[in-house]
Amino acid sequence: MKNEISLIIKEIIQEQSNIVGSRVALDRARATKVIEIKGSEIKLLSTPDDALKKLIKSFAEIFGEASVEVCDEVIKKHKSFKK
Amino acid sequence: MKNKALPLVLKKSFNFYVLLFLISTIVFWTGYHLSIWFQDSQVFGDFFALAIISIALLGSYVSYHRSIIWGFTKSDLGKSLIFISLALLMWALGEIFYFIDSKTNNPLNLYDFFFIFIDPFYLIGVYFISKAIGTFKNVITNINLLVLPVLILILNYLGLTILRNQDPFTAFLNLDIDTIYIIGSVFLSTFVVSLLLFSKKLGGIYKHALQLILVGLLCQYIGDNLFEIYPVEKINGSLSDLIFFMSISFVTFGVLMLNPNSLNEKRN
Repeated sequence: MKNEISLIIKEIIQEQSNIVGSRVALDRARATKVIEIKGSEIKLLSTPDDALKKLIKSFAEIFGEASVEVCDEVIKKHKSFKK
Repeated sequence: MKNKALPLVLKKSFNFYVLLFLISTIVFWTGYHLSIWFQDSQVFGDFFALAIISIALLGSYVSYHRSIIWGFTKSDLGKSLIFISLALLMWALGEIFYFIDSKTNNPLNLYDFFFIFIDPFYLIGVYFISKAIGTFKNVITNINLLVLPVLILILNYLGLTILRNQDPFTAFLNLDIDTIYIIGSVFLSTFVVSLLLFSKKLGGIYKHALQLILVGLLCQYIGDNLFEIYPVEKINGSLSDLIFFMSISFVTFGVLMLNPNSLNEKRN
């Protein structure tokens, strides 16, 4: 479960990077204060659910619902994971 | 003392001065035209050309700078800002040549070489904004983007021929370079209207920045049409110039509001 969420978080950051650039996307992820990024490694400092929720909320600050939709699409791709 | 009632964008002193420049130029334009009622003045025209060149260069530089922060060629928003920067650069260069031509009566109309690229560059910029905010995921918007340009183009063409007391068929046979500007403007405005109407999911702290850019592009469409209805020969400071000035200012101001630091300030 934790590994899958780490993968989802990685993909969300990648998708958001394609939209707003990697600098802003990584800044947004770090701003949650529950996700630590070292190179390609992602460390969660909170429960997986909490980390994911805070990440989506952080990206929502950019373009609102339009940003959330991008996150939702990544989550939908991982069918076994339920939000 | 900071005024907490002011929106975030106005707390930035630089943005405040840009806004002040926009308002004072509009007031100056209105005051001038009201006072001597459309008399030709070289100094006024020169000032206005300089105002357009300055704001377009500023907007182009800021857009380029912002595009680097927003991912440059590796992100949709970055690409969008590159093309907005190029469009504003074409505005500045075109206006410089227009200004030179108005002084030397050069028959070559070199400014058209730059002006002609404004709408296509803006259009590509808006395309990437649409991509960034997921507009193309909406089927209705996609249908609108196919149908609206043709519809508005026909209505726009008929409207212009009626206003000029021309026969639509004869006018069609005598298409000139100004018609190309209108075609570009129609496609641009259609994109913009679709974005404004159908992007209900757009929110966040940059919503107003993007909306201001889009309103600026709509002003470009109005300016192009005004120029067609009231054509002026190499004179600066006409009504269409005022609309173009407002268009460039809105786009520049919108780009200034796309400041990534706003995200951190909001959090703090």
